[in-house]
Amino acid sequence: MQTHEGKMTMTTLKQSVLTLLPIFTVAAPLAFSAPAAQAKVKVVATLADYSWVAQQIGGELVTTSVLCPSGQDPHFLAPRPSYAVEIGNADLLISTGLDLELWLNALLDKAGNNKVLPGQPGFVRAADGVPLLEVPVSADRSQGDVHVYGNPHLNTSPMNLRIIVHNIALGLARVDPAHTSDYVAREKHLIAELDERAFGKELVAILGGDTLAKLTLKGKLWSFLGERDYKGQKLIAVLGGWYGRLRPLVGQSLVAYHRNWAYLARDFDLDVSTTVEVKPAVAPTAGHVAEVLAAIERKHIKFVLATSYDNAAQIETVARRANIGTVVVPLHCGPQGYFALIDGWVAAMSKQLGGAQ
Amino acid sequence: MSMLELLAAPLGVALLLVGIHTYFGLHILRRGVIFVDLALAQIAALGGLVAFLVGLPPDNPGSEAFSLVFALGGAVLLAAMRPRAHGRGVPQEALIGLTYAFASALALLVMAEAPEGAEHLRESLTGTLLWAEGGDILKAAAVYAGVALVHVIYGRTILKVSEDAEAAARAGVKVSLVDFIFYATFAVTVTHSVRIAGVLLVFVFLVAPATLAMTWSRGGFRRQLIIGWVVGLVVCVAGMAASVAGDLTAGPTIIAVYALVLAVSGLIRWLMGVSAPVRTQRLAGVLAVTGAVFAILWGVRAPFIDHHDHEAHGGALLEASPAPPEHAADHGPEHAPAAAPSNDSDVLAARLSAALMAADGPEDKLAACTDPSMPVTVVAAALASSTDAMDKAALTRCLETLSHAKR
Repeated sequence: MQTHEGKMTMTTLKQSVLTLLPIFTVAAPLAFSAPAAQAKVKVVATLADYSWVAQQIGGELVTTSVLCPSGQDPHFLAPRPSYAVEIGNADLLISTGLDLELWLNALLDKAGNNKVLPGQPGFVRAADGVPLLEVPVSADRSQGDVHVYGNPHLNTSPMNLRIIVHNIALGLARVDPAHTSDYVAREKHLIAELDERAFGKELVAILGGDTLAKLTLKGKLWSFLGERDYKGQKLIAVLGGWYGRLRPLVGQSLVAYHRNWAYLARDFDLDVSTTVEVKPAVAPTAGHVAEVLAAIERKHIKFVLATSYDNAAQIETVARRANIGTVVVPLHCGPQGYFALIDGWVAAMSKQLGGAQ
Repeated sequence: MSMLELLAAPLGVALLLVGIHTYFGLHILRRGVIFVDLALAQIAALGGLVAFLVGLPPDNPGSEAFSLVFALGGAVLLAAMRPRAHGRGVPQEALIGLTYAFASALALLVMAEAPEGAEHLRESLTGTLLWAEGGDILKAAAVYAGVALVHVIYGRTILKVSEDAEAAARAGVKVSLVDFIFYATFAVTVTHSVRIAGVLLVFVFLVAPATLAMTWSRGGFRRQLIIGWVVGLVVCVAGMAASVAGDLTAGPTIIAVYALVLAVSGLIRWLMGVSAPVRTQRLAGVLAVTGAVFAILWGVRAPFIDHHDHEAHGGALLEASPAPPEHAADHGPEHAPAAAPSNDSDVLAARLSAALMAADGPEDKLAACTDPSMPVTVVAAALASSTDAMDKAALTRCLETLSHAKR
């Protein structure tokens, strides 16, 4: 303001310009910084589960979009031009980080957004810290292993999602440090709700979600709860939530279509070694179908578990010939979110098990 | 990053494809070997799969070399087929179709041994035009320039054979040799372009502009070539624009535009050369039939619609739904992931044993039980009932620490 006062002797035209100048110098930064301060963090996720988590943690601070729509096999996604544009404009990219989304590298090359390349702050590898299963001993793919790092279908266990929630919260805090406390608080809430939905309020209050998650990830949940005494009964009597409702599932054998369910199998001590497809992407042969039918008989299998994008005709055929039920569920969450997805799985499976609805 | 920037390289590659394939397409229509490119592409894909089996992944140059060797083998086969087929009055297309079927079946058998390769085969059949980069334009230009050079030198002879092989043979042309040169250069072209654009798009690039050109010009090869190029250019640009506007996959969109152009062209041809009243009748007939077909499809569809299904499968870029408000609101501080403080010794005992069970090693176990709020009695009871040596060691040390602290 002092410099402007020193130029008061200039012509009226210049004066009028100069009187406007302070207004501009005050208004312009406001005008430009106001949207910048409120600019939402643009989150792009490969799978709907990840974008749902980001939306829960980010709330009004973020906008989210999904590349692979729910109901689409994430192994094979047909490229659209807008995918590269989405990634090009993203602040945070969330991907499994294994070899599930094989199409992502080509998109990253095309998008030219250095902020969200793997290793950069704007990239979240959802699999970080998740204990992987089915990691092949040899990398020669002779067994038809499509996935050389291990099974990438992480979301089939709510306990994996618990870790993913933390990874995504860290990612959001990295690209938007000003709101770290918001992200941390909402991460806590989300994990608390996940724990309660998984194990029931009572058991979470007794043991704490962290310990329950650890036990589950180690495959010790059922043996511990079944053997531990608590107030004159076994602790398992207190178990509620998804895990409580699926208690009849523990130790069962299932037929799966594809090997998507390794983490669910770990959580419930399942045998899902029988699959309808011979190897990933290899259609079943007559001999193989006969083997599957024999295994259903031998292992007293109650239902075929498949995702909604698997080959419906093959699933139906196997189930009809063996006279067992089918549970065909979406593998990834829809607009209703992850909790609704697991609610759906639990309801469908407990129906087949003849348990409580 | 704009859509136009994104599609500049794919458009460049598409125009190169139009250039070379329109030329080959005119030859192929003259020869009546429409599906020869499918056969060659399938043989090349088989080569890629075999390469995968012997340890060469699809991005390895060795894989492309395998494809090329297989495709050249296919060229020899095709050149050898002509006299044998014609000598027995069998259309060459029959043998070409069988070649395609055999190559596909072999590919399926090979795939069973290399499932990972199957994904890449699928990729090569659907095409990845969208991922074309500046470098791809240069590479394609180099390959096609080499092919074009051969055709600049031998073009006249090749055209003679394409138009009338018997007349050419009478004039002293070695038909089998010319056939081999033609199929070999064609194999090189198709092998390369299928890797860029996929079988489907390459087939359409070959046949569609040539078909349009031959429909509208009975004149010479040169004139048809120019018509084909112009049509190809316009359709490519229009297809790319539609792909941007509607956010559609580029390859199939271009093909759909070709279908539209061919349909309109066919309609115009059908309406031309008849008197005005007949033309009006025919036009009215077309509109009536189209309307009727839509109405029938609509009527058939209605009873089968599952409304739940319809809602679940939304758009491609599904916007995640915001947090349901009741979930955001009902959380108090007591819902923290770590278990809430408790005075109930049963709860504490269960909590202690769960923490020990979940812990990873001696250090982790010690950390799990060293909770200052844990009553000494609970720790002592756990020690008394524990059977695990590692748990006992941790609990003993823990008890010492706790009794020190309490004192």
